[in-house]
Amino acid sequence: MNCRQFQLRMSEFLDGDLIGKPLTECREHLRKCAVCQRIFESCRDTIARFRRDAAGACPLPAALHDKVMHTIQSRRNSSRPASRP
Amino acid sequence: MMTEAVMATQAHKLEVSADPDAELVAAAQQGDLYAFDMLVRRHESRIYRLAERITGNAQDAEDVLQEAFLNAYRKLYQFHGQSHFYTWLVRITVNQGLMRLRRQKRRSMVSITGDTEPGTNAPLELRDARSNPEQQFAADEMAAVLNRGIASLTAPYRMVFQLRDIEELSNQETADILHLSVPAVKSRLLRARLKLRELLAPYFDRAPAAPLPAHAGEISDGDHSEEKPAP
Ligand SMILES: [Zn+2]
Repeated sequence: MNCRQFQLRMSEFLDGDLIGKPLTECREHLRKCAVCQRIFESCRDTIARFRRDAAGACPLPAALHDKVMHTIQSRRNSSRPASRP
Repeated sequence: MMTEAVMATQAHKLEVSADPDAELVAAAQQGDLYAFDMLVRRHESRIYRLAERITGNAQDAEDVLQEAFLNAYRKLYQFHGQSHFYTWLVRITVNQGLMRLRRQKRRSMVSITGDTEPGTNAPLELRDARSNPEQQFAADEMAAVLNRGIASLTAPYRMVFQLRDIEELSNQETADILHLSVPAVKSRLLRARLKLRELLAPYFDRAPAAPLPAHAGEISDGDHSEEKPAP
């Protein structure tokens, strides 16, 4: 497996979607290629940072929440969820 | 819609814990508005952020947020727990957001089916609606860096990355929402990840001191496997 082939597979490798020979080859390539190692690690790091960022999303202003609920309440009669049209 | 084979291969992924929203959803479906209020509270900040990522600005994000929750309320009787409630909410939000983008047609990258290169956009302006000193998000430089990074991707790549890697939807769920094939989702995800990595690595602590080769972020043609790994 060369770098191009590894990088084409990298996403699936990262997601744990590979099995068998492709998985072995990816591991093997990663062990001996510093460039792909760096790309792989910073890619994983990038995803992790986005996830942490999303998980830490701060609460919305109360006014915006109220606005959403007000809209729902004001149209409630025409939009009861439990009743089928 | 999924064939049994597809479901079987995805079984390990869909083997998710019970939906933490199930009880509130059931109550809301019985007409308990307070329960729905709790659901809104639980998810509004992530849904807002998602809407902001789709539309690229705070005002549209607010509108999409409102429309999405109103729509969810109206369609609640159609929800039978086929997915997590949050995933269902994401689907509604994405539809609302994309509809809005198409209606406005005021940006050139509204197509999510086009196949332009990632990262060739002029960056979207991601104004932070909540930029007051009390709220840490605005002050968080990393969050701003991440926002700029993802905003610079063209919509096809931005949406796939957002749904797969941030909302943590499966390939199949992402494909369904964006009306793409699973292979198309995978290929866009790969390119989006490589592009973001390339854009953001310089900001991260573990960023390499030496610049990456010119082809970094593209699929490399060279073979560097002769190089020794860093000790
Ligand atoms: Zn390599």
